[in-house]
Amino acid sequence: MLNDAVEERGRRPPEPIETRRFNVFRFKRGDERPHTDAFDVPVGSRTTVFEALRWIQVHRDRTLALRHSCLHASCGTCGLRVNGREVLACVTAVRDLGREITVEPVANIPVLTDLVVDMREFYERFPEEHPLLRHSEFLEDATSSGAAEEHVRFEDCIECGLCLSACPVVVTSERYVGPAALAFAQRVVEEPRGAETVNLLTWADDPDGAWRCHAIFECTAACPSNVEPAARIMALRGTLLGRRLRSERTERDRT
Amino acid sequence: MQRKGFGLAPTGWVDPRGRTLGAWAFAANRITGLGLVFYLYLHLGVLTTLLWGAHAWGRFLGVATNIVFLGLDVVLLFGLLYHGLNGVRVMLVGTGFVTDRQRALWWAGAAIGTIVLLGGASHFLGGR
Amino acid sequence: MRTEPGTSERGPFTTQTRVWRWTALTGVALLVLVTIHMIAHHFVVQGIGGLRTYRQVLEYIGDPVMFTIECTFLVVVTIHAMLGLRSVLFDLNFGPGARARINKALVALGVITVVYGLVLIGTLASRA
Repeated sequence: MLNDAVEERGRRPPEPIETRRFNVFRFKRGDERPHTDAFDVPVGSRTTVFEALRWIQVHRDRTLALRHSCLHASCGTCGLRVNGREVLACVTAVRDLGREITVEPVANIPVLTDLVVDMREFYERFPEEHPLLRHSEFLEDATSSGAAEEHVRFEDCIECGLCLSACPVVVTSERYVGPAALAFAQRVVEEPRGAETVNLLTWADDPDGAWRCHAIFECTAACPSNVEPAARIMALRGTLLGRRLRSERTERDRT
Repeated sequence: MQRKGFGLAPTGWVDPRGRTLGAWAFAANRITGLGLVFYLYLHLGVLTTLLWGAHAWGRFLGVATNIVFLGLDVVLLFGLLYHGLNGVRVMLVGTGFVTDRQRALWWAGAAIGTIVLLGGASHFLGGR
Repeated sequence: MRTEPGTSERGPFTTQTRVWRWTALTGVALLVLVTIHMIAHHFVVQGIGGLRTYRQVLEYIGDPVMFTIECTFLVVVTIHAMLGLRSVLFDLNFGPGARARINKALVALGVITVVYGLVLIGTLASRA
């Protein structure tokens, strides 16, 4: 059966190849300012942006720096801006883009080199104690590699930073903690599992916390995972208002 | 760091490139809001002419019934309708209600606003 | 921000929730007040744009009910405008000291606006 499949594939006509122009953001340490390099890349009907960039790396310019890992939208490493929109390069089909494709690093995060950004900017927006990290639950009969006692991952969030890049408020206000951190605050408030939430709500109830968000929803539009940051921030605000009203009522009853 | 905008960080919210409906709605809400603040003070200034009597006010009315000014009244009406109707959406969504219908709310406001604006515009401009 | 929990302006659940509530409540009130104001000044009187003459303005503002509504409108719109300006200015990355000064400046501007407007309305009402 496998031989039949291989034979069938050999008989199929070759996939049509066309050329698309990629305008890629370039910046190396020591450069005064960034510039754009243009590459004509042969693409097929199923070529992804990541594959096109790898082709550039292999065939045209080995110095092009980009990050990637899983290649199936689960790690968030390959987040980029393509034609101005935040996407994961590994699952973005070139055929859906125009004849000329602009590729840039995500916005609002310092650029290290070319398409690689310094993700510390993303993580530094979370409170220092990181009460928002939820430790994954180990099954009792599961075995670990021994390299780590437990794995720590955000729920749903793949830490791609696309929400931070898309948010228009983050552009103007560096103090704003951003959608990812607030979405996680709401997730912990929604389901504390024993975590203390009062400090977290105090942290969020700040001019640069939940109240700096303007309900623009660009973060939700950009998010490639299931986080829905904007809706979570709005739910957090609802919680803050509810607590405020209850505390006022308690104070009135006391006096 | 790459920033959207036109070279200055505060312009980031104005840059329409690569944005979806939510960003356009917010930008328009802010622009109409700032426009209405400007209009508030302009309006108070204009109303001050009433203190100088009927003749001064009459001179203002002569200018205000000019087609250009009536056109600006239509623009004012647009600003009020947009900011008001989108403001209802922002108030609901911003407090955690109907966040999954935020786009539909915008379109509903746009439909209502368009009907009212057309009625108002025909009144302002049709009365000449 | 980007600091540990509880290190922001002052205690929990105070300023920001209050600001949001007042913005929302004044916004809702304005939906009614602006509608009354626009209808009264553009859609009642026969004439181009529905604009009132000097005598018609005095007659209108001399009515105690309309006087109260217009004064309320002035106060509510000024509060909403100042809170909106605060939101725009607080986006601009100022530190806590500058923000405290912005708060004070906006309160002062709001008070001046309301006082001036009330004096204007009161003077016109006294001539009715």
